[in-house]
Amino acid sequence: MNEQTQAVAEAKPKKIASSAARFEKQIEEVLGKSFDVVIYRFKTVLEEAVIIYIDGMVNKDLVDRDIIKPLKLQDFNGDVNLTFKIPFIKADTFDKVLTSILDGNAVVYYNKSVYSMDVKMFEKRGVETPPGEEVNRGPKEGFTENIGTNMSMLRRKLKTTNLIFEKIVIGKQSNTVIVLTYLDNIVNRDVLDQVREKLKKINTDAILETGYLEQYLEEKPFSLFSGIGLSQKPDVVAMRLLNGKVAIMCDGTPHVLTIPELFIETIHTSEEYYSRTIQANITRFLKILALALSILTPGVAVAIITFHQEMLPFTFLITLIQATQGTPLTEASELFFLAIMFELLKEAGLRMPKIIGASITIVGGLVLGETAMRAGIVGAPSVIFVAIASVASLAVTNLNEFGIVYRFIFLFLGSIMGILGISVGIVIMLTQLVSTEAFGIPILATFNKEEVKDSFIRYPLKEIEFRPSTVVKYNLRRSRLKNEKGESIL
Amino acid sequence: MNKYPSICQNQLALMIAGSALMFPYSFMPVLRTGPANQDAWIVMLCSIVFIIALNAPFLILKNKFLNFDFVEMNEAILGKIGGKFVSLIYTFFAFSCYTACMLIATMYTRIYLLVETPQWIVLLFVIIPAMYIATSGAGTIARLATFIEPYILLTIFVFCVVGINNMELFNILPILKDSKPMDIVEGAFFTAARFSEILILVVFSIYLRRGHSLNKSYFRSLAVFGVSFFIIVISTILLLSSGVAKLMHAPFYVYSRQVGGEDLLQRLQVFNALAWIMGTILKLSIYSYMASFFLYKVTNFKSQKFFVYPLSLLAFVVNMLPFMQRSATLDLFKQDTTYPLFVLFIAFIVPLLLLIVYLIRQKSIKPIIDQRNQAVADAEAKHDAAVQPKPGNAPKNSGQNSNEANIPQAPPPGDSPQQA
Amino acid sequence: MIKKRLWIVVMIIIMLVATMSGRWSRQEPKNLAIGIAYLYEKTDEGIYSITAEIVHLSGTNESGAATGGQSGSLSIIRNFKGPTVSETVRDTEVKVEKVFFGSQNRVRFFSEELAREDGILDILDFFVRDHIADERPYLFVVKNEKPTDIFEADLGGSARLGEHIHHIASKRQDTVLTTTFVNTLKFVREYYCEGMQPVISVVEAKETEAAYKTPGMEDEPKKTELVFEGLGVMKGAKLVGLLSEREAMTYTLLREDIKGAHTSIPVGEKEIGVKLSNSRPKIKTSYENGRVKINIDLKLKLSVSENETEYDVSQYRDIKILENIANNHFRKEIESTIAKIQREYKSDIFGFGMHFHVQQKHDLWESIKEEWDDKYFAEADITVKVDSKIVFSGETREKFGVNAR
Repeated sequence: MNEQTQAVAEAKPKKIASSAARFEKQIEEVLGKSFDVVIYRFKTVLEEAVIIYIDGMVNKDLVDRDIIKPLKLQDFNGDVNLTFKIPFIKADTFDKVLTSILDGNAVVYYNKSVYSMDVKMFEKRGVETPPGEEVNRGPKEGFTENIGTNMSMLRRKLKTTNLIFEKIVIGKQSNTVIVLTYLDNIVNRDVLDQVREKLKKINTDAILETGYLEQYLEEKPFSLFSGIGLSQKPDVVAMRLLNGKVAIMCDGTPHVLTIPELFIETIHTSEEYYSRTIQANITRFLKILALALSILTPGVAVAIITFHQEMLPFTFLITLIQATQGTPLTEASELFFLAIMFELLKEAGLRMPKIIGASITIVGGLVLGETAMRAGIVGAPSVIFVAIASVASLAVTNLNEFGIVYRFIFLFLGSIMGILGISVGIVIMLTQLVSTEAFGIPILATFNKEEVKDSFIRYPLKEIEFRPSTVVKYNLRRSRLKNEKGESIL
Repeated sequence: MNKYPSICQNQLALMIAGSALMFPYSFMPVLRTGPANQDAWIVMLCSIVFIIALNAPFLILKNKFLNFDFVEMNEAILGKIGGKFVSLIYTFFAFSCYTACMLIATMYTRIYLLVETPQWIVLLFVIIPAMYIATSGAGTIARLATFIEPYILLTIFVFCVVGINNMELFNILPILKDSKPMDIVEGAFFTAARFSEILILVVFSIYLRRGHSLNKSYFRSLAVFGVSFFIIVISTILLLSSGVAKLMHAPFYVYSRQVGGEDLLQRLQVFNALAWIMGTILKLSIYSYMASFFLYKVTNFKSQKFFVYPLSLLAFVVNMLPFMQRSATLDLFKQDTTYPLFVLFIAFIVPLLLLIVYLIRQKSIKPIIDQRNQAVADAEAKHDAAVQPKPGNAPKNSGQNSNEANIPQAPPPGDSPQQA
Repeated sequence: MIKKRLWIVVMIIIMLVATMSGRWSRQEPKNLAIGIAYLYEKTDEGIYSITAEIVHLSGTNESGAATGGQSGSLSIIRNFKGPTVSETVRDTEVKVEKVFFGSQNRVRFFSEELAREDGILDILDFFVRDHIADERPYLFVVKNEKPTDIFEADLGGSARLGEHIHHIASKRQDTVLTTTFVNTLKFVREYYCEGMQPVISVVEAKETEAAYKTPGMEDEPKKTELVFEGLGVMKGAKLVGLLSEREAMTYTLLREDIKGAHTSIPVGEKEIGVKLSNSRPKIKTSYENGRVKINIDLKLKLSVSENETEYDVSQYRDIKILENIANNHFRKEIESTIAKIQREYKSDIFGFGMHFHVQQKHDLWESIKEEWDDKYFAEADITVKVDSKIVFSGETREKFGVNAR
């Protein structure tokens, strides 16, 4: 099948036909099978013209009013420059004509030339708040599926001549428009060149979503971090562009990639920059605590309970023994079983329609857990540990997969080797994070004096004067709010 | 420059201090050397002076050969064959430190934490992360040290603060009365002789970033090490008294069991165990990296990563020998006559000889040094030029060739954007 | 790439097989028998007889999980025998169905006979060497003829003996004058200190007259209650004598940090109740002609809590008189106690040797430290000076009722 369509594609005539009728036939050969392609040959006072467009992708009022009607006027003098009321481009080759039509333009053949006009109008979703990236403070609009809208939203955030949009078309069947965005005076040129090269080398059927691009661009498919970030909000993407990153937009999806993504950014949200210093630091601290708790709690609990009971306080040990007295499973298996159950509950809650989903989560969480305890299958401490871990993991949703994988790894290591296993696990996790590099930039590099101002804590905004030097290589200064002595001028 | 990992001076300082701290964290040999009484903290303070003295040859030597890595430095001083021979001696040294440290780690785990677990499984659990880190390269080791070492320092500090309630000031009295000056000097000397981490400085200094200096790392590491060592020793002596602390295999671990009131903070020894295992694994990986790095540079065969595996396998086999599974062997390392003398020979006498040879052959070695320095300076200049923004792509009025902020000006009043 | 993945898979399989196959150090908490109090005796045949109090938790889990806590749990008493302490551990393996776990141990009792004749050194060696048992348990000598009587004492509401003692010992350390609670760390520290002999706490199960009745148990026979009074004087690791509660006060005043302990000072025939706080005394040692001279300078802070006398404790004039009385009272007590210890026990529990070591020349100490307890301490000239200050007098000024009618 693939070879046939390719052969048909290559057999396309390259030259545009010399008469309207023959042009119509040319187009019909290629596009005639689909009934939504409108091919209309009509007479003008001088010669015949053919108009071709795809129904449902054009604004028919505009087509009628500004293209067909002027051509059908009695005083049409053959000068298309004065006739068409819409800006037009001349399409030289047949390939460009087809691309134009498929893009949603209206194409007019007149007098051996083909003119393509942008009259696109199609149903699209309005600008909404993206779910999963809701904030209390900050803009609430998110990207949509139309790349034009997306580009305009980004332009409105960064009204500078340095904002560059580069267009690349990828995908043999989909011909998706991919836009590479960056700020010319700040971006890391190495990363930009690498990304551009890789994008140009992609040879595939279709790019339906930026997820395809992410998986094609990443260097290690099996690692937990691809070094490629995701966002649906224009202010987040703008902030990342200002930090020297490259953004990739794809027509048909609101998710925009930003390359490279440092580990610390998975913990940041845009709201932290819009809030004042203390609020921002409290939020960050809570997030890091949540991350640590969600990964370590079941593992450390099982390690100490199973191997090092001498490290437990006496009253807790008594409670633990009483709670697990009649349960059949070992502590490790209980925690493992409960962790899986909680993950299943979370997944189920995500996929269900909102109304059923809420009640199932409550039912699942409370009743099942309580009943399991009463039935003597699990003990109360295990439920609490897993509940702490699961609730904490909801605070850092970006690191969901990372959290799940490592939670089970720590659980496994803790149950076979106790505190030695946990320490080894922490060391291996840190090593993996620290040694991962995305496009030549380490994702958890050490923080020099300037970068630490915006890492695990956030200094007041007046103090953050430089961009992160891990990514940005030149033009590092962001703002000048201090005079020579170091005092603030505001 | 792109392919070389780059380390900050603070990271290097932390690596050195953290590795050196693993001895006091484990078995605190300073309690048993010299006068072996409550003046151990004075012994410790004097040992800092000795450390600087014993490390001086290596430091001076490396300062002359800033752009050479260790094997190249040896080859420059002694010629190819001599250099390779000396590097092989250091490979053996790094390997023995690796094995010794591994023995200590597994012994302590089997004494204090996991008692019935057989030796080989504990060894596996300690070797595999060390192998993984050593094959990830020097940049990873340095960045890892940035996370692990501050945690270790934090635990030391917190344990000291939390244990203040139970400390008795009388445990360090009388000061200096019971110890003869010669004993103190002897104890300080042997404690300083265990400080083999100067080799880390010498090997990893090639990766230092531009503008970061070797000497600053060294002195910062000594400062951190000195303060932490002092806190560990003084807290242990004040709480446990030196007689009791000497009795224990791991005094600091026993100390951490005692601290904390009944109300809020109980049983803090789990943090101690975590810090200690993580620090030991990092130290193991550093030594493993060094040994494989030397072998790689001497033989020029494949890559540094390749040599990590056979070295670790050999260490595993050596540690499984029956002789190594007895806790009496551990005592060998604690005595003053074995390990300190070995380290003294490698970390002081051999560099002293190298320094002497360098001073003798200074005239013939100087051109090699100058040539290398020039090559490195050229490469840096080239890199600086390459990183600058390309002039062609920039719009005209962005002002990007300066490092000033490109803050957009407010548009002049007449220029409002077009209405849609 | 494939080779690397193969290596990783092989390693994971090795680790899985290796770690899943053996149990080694893994232990489920429900399989633990937690011993929280141990009593060490030696039978006439010279065999160690250890009586342990083991925590016993209710078997089923009906409502235990929902409420948590320790309702309905008891403890059971078991006895083990063996020629050495580690052999008694072997005996536990056949008598107790769960695995014995000693890390939560709160208190170690020794029979007086054992402490006097054999000393507790061997037992201590076992525990210091063991990796689980740490240095927290309190050490007691049991005065009863039949030491196992302490396990039958009425605890007045607490469920288990070990916990009961632990609560008293850990919370009351600053406010008890008549005894002191010695944990293993303190004992070991003092044992290793040159010029100091350790002490040990004393407990006795005494019959009680009008025992407080726990509700629901009115018809029970007469009970015994635990009495903590006095101290045991050790020389090395052997018990050489017992101090009464008044004599123990000397020790606590000189060695412990007391904050707000209740005691009373006799004034004529009446008494004044005070709350007492001390600070560590200044001890000066000197050596002349083969005799040691020790000067003790003790400062006390008193708050009047009950005034039976006619003195008005808010007036400076009366306060001075009362302070003098207090000084004399304490001085006499301390001097007589120390004289008794010098005479009868010849054991320097106050640490004068330690101060001598610090203040005098090293060579002098080295030459006399072997005979310190028997000769130099026993013949030392000890002078005591007490300086007490009445700091607070409570909420009122003169004695209640004096100016009422």
